[in-house]
Amino acid sequence: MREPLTEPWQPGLPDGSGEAEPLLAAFLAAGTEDSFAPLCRQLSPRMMRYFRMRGCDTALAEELTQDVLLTVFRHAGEVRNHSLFHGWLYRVARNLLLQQWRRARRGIDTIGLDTLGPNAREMTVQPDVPGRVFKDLIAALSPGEKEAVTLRFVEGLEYREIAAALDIPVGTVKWRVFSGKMKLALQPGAGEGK
Amino acid sequence: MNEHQDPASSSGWVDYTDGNLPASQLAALEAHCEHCEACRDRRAKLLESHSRLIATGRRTAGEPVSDRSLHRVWDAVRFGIRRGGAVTRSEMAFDQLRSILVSMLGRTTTDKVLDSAADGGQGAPLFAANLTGIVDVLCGDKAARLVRRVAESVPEDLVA
Ligand SMILES: [Zn+2]
Repeated sequence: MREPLTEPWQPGLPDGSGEAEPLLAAFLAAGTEDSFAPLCRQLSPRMMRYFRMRGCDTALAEELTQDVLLTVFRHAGEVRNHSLFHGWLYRVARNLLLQQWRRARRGIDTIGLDTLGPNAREMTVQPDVPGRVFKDLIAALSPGEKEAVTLRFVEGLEYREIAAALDIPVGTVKWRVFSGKMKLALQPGAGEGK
Repeated sequence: MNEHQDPASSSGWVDYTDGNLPASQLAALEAHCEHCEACRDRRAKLLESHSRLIATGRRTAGEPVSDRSLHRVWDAVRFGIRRGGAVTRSEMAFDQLRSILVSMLGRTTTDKVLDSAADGGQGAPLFAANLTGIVDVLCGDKAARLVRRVAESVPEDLVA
């Protein structure tokens, strides 16, 4: 008997707040603060979630989000293919996060644990980490698999967007998602109903 | 027992669980699964993981972000746009402080007050205290309390 397929995954905005492309186009046409506001409103929650899920506290997530958005304001016009805007956006976010991690690691001997960046914070127990359930679900995956499935299933990116964000081939993205899913299925708790 | 030969690449399996496998490949994969237990098992595993990822991913993506956070971000972004450079929130605090003072004291007095509060180069803590003292004398304690709160968030390098 044919097994029913799961509900097809619709990439885009998981929170249902609409597509960014029309807002991007409107902003690029006008280039003003007013035209940037709707795009900013739409991207801010996604960016906040992105940084919070990766161990940043609220203040740091706000600062990094604002840096991403200012980068969008100044450089979004340089993204030639608008359909790759999200890939570019997440690459900017990722680079800022990596910079932050590097800074935190350099300061490791001189600053306290509570002021450290995401890497160190992840090691401490936090009861209300955003995305905790998802992070627990994918805990057994490799870092590359985690990043790929998170961008896919939380951020709702298409494979080519994930490839652009991580600067890897699409085939590698798909392989990571595939092997991540296979690993998930071998975890305790898998197959016990949905 | 039938010979097993992978009916799809990893990419094909991913497209299958996404519901995006082209019809001809879909038919071939399903026909293969009819008689290959290993692939039926793999298919079941992938579909189950896929469902869990979708459900949990949606829940995570739906976690609310506080409005206050989003407002702070937008204020900072707008400020950065107007200034034409990337700014941190602490830099914004200084500008905010300045505009509060200007609204109470006017531009010229504000600049003098800021100068004398920063005098001595003792850094942010003393700056906030000095400034609060001056504003207290000029505008009363309510204004002073407001100014103190904002002044304390201004970092040392902006005061010096
Ligand atoms: Zn088979």
